[in-house]
Amino acid sequence: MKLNRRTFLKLSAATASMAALGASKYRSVDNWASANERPSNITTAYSVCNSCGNRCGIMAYLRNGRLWRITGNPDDNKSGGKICTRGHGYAQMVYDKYRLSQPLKRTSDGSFVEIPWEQAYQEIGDKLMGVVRKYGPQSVFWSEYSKPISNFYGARLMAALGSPNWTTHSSTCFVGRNVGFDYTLGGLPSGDYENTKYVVFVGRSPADGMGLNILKGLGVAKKKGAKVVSVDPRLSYSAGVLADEWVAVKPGTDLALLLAWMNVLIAENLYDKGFVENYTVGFAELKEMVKQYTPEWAETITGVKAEQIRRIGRELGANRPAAFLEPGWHAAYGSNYANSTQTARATAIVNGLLGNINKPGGLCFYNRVSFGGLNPELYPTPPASPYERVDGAGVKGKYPLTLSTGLHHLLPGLAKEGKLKAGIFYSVNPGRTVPDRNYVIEGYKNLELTIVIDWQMSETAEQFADYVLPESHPMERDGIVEAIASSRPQVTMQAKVIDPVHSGGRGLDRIVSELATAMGLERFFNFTLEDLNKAMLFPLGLFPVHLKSRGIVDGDAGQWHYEFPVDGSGKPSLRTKSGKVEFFSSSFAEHGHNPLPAWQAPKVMPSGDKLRMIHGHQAYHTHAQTMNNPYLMSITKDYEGDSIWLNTETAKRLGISDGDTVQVSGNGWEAKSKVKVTQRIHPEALFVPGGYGGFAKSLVRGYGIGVNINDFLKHDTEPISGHAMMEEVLVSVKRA
Amino acid sequence: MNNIRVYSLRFATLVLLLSLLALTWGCGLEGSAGPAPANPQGTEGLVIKVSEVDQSTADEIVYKHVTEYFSSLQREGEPAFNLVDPGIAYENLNKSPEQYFLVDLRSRSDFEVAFAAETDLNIAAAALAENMDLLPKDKTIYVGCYTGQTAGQVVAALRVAGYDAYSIRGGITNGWIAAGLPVVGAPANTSDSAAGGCGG
Repeated sequence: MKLNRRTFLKLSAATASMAALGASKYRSVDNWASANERPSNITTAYSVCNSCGNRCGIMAYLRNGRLWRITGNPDDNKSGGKICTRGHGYAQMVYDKYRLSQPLKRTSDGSFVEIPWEQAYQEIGDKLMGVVRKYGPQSVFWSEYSKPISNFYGARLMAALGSPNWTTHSSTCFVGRNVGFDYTLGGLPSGDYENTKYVVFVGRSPADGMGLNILKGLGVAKKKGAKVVSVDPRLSYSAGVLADEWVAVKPGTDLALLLAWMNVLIAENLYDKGFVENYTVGFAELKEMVKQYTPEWAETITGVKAEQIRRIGRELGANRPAAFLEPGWHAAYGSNYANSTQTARATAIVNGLLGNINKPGGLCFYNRVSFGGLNPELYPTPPASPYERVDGAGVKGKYPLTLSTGLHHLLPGLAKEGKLKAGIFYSVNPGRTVPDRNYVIEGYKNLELTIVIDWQMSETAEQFADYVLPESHPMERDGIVEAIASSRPQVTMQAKVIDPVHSGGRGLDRIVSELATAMGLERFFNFTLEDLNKAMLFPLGLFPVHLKSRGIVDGDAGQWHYEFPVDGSGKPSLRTKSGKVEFFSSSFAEHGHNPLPAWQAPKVMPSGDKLRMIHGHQAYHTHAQTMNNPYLMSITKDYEGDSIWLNTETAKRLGISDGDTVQVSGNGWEAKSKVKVTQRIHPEALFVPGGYGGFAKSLVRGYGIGVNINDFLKHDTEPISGHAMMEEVLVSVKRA
Repeated sequence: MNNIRVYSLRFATLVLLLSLLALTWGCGLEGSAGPAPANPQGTEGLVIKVSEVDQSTADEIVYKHVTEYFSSLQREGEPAFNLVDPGIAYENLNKSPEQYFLVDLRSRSDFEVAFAAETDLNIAAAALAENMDLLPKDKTIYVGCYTGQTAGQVVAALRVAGYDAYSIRGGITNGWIAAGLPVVGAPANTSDSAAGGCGG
């Protein structure tokens, strides 16, 4: 976005307003700081980390009632008892001076003023109900960074209003992967990392994107001789630490590699014939299709030598069933390419050929406890909305195969079309994290009412919020109970660790319930979070006090065995249409998509000096959420973490040296950045670390630091699962 | 006096109190308020511990704790006993849930039929030994059973252990429910679980 003078003045006014708020509101922080100087009195409390979506179990140590440090809860099967850098940094933000402490309302000059909660509820309630009456409930939406508490309260508020439009960030994250696995394996299995002999990561980097249980499990497996292969255009930190072999695939061509592995496994009879016969459908069609996809063919597409492709295919077959292709997350098939959904299907299919489902060292569908629900006689359930989702998720003729979490990157366009009139953004920042800044801002500015609920400001709040409601920090409040799936299922919950630093913030459960009351919808929110947690835990014979006192409790979900899922009559019971692994997807065919994951090129391909821009997590940042975190940003500074990466040979050809400042151009956007020149990236790619490029002036520590891939992208949508396409972009780079 | 010895003496105090109250035990047993066992399991073994310490010192400490216990039963403006009226308990639990904690000692099967929505823990008295960590020391604990007998003993023991505990007069069944205070049945089986998050 090019800032014009009017926009700039608005932002400046908003910033000045925030600074003024800071000066008057944070005196109590000094009081808390001084608590650290008193004699030690250490107490502990259990909770759940909120620094990303992993939600690892933590133990908080308090010194004189002040949060002092956190450690991983050793009982947590998911985190393996560890926490990461982000967790440490995020926890300390409870004392940060830039936290929001009072509801804010935008004034006519673009700045924000503080208002009391009661006024905020009344004004927002009146306006929201006004939109519902004028345009219908389908013109209202909820958008969130998926969290258990908002999964419940956000969805229930939309239902209470009559809106079908509850959305999470999934369409810019993992939706392609989930759809691909859902229609092949019936869901997303977990790797049996500790017992595997051979694992291939296709684009995922668990030491950057964070998978602590993965890292711990692989540590065990590697001591027993397991081999780890990383397929990635970039030699990530995971690959550097864990991988025995790096497959430097040309970005966006992973599907070709997977097809070639299918070819090798079938042509050389390395697949599990018994498994395929008993537990899969469509093998004949698959076999016929992959005949053409030889390793030699794949070499021409991926740039990976046929010999290497064939060898890895053979090694996979030799180590089956204790060998698997890791289910991945965002990179190769989350939401990046035109072929992402089919690439996810192909990954699931290779696992089917290896026959590794619910096998030691393979992919496992672990048990998860079943929670109860509120008694509808006491707590009326809002009726389901009679309207179709405006984003088309699950709607015939639009995106019928995708998830109920919706397609949030489509919302700005729908606002511009006038189909959406009011939105609530919870702990999500599409102003920075959704592709195409101008599309997002210009679209959302058409809304008649925009509410942001967060504990800090954001690009979204600054650019288009009419009201900003301050949520308390997770350390200050209870959350909703959560299930941890594993061979030993567990239950946990986020629990209040310290008394609120600011009296003004409130938990989401309270904000939504009180807002609903202001709109006359209190009948759907006549319960407390404690009531809800008790109802959910009821079938387990547990109470919230079990989780608050012990952090994590084993849940009875039946004994888990290494056996293919079958129903009571012994029939295969994966959650696919057939109950089996579906190499051939009749559901895809039914909706006009290729029922087999045939080769499909990405939408754009590099040529000449045009490079594909790719992106990825760093171990010390979570999206754009941590860009104002002083602890984590100090790591960025110390390690020049905001630098883009360029291949050594490419840089040499372009006359660029390590540490140069370069200008990157693409799709009409230009930005400058320092460059890291390295052999750890594919020659046709330019890597941009995720989350940077902040333009919210309130977030002073991240403002103007680094570049963001979303600025170089044009709004676009993949046709099967409907996700954004976040690496379909070519850029030029030159010395600045 | 070292910590081990203090522990033994406190245990002795507890044993004494439990012994005094043992004849009324039984209300918390599943489905009945039937006759109590003559000698609570384990008591005999614990008495031996008393003999292991200096008897005169033990007598003094037990006496002190007992008198303190009886003193603790005096509350200004209320009946001189560690009881709370069910209506007052209901009111306090709803008015200041962060200050009160309701324990229901009845069996799970009876609990599921009808229970106070305010319940913070359903647990058998016999299971408390392994679950003392669940009882908050910074809240007032209300304890209920079928008739109040088991709860009375549990409250006595908890108060000796330093908890601010009260028995609900008449228990949950003959007190709370008989008074017509609100109870609920088992909630819905439908899942309210979340849709799933992001891995990082």
